[in-house]
Amino acid sequence: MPAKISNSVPGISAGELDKTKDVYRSLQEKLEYLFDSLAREKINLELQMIEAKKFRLAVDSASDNIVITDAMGTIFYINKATEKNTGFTFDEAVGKNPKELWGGHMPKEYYAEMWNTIKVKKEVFVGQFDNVRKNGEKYIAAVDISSVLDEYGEILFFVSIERDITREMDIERMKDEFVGLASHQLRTPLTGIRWFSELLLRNKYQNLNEEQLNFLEQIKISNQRMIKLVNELLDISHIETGQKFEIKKVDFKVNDVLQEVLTENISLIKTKALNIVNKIPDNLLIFADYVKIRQVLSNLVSNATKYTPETKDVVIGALPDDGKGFTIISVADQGIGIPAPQQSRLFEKFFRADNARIQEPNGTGLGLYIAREIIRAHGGEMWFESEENKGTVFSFSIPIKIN
Amino acid sequence: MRKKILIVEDDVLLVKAISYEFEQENFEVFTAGNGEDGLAMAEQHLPDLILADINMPKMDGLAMLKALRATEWGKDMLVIMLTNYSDEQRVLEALSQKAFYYLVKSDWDLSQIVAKVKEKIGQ
Repeated sequence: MPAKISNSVPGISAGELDKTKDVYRSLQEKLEYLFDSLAREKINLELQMIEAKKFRLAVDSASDNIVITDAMGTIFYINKATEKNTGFTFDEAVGKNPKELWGGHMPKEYYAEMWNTIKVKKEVFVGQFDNVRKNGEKYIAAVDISSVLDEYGEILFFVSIERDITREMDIERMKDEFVGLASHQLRTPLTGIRWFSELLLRNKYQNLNEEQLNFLEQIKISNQRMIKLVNELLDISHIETGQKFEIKKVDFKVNDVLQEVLTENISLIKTKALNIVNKIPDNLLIFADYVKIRQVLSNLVSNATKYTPETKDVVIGALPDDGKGFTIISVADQGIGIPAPQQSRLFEKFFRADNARIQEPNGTGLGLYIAREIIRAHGGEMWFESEENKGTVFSFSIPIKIN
Repeated sequence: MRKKILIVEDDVLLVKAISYEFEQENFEVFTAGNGEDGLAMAEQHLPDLILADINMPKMDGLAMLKALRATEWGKDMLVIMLTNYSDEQRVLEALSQKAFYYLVKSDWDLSQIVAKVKEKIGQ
């Protein structure tokens, strides 16, 4: 506090004294104000320190690896999870580039793409890295790297959040291998059931009565369903283990394969008196894998016949040439359609729309997923337009015969 | 002359069904349970066509096919590979050894297999 000033000082007039008093008073007020603001500032700073400590604590103890580097990629922070996961301590890591520690094991192009994304485009890079711990052990990390920018858009630093997914990947791979193995093993007994029921159904000796034949027919239908499921599971395990479909391309008429598919579905088409309209030009040749395209068309046509009410139309057509060497083939039905909120999920594995599930409880939700993968393996694409209770048009593009 | 078919397959039940079918269709049927026996039977009977499984004990179908192609009498013999695999690598290997066809057993009716064989060698 400023010193008190006496009211009477020898040799100074009262007027002068009053003036000096005023100066001092105003000085005192200013100092008091300054003191208060400093005190407030101090509290503020203390609060900020507490906040910062909380953040630091949160980042320190997060279960994912968090690494912060400067704009050149030099590390200035790693959290505890990173220390534990990679085996490198905070002090060992700071000042180094991740490629001198756990990184640097991916192809050059991969890092180039990463730098381009975070440094040039200043977008988030999402990727997967094969890294190596300090003890030499390999691990797979799912990584998100984002750039933190200042108010002028310049890079301040990069924050990388990594998760060790080695174990998850192992389990995933084991699951796929198991599905593959089990499906192969199932095929032999399924073949036995198929062949022996076929022999019995032929009933050359007429010694089975109608009811017995009907039971046999049921065995055959169940058997066919199981075979289809096993085939679909094998396709999925092929896709999931990253083995691309081996596509054996030949030239063939779309109508040849379509006729086979229509014959396959003839009993349902007849029972429901569906009107099948084939608008595919007879000379339309495509350059594709016959068996796989048959599988795709079989899926689309059997869905269309299944979900279209009696006496309605199913129209199969083609846009012969899209100018890029592809033809677009479509299957249009007047069926139940796909509810709008569920349309975005239609190509998901195991997904089935609610209305389809009610009408046809036995589907697997694998057919369309596989069909689209097959078309993509040909370099084409598959899509649809649908309106509930009106119908759906499925289309796909596929290479035409090159002359 | 009845056409001669050799079936090389290790699953006894499947052999029973398929040989029954071919006998009904008036083929002369020989069977073997592995590639080694299959090769011996092929040399002894010189069949018009061989249906061979891939996955078998002792000698598998692909090894049998390779050995067959190395002989004078078997180098042009007609072979259809029967398989449980849609494993592309094995299929391509079989086709490169001049197996003219392969089929996944569970996807085919017996009558369709017979039709395929008749299409190739008549009756």
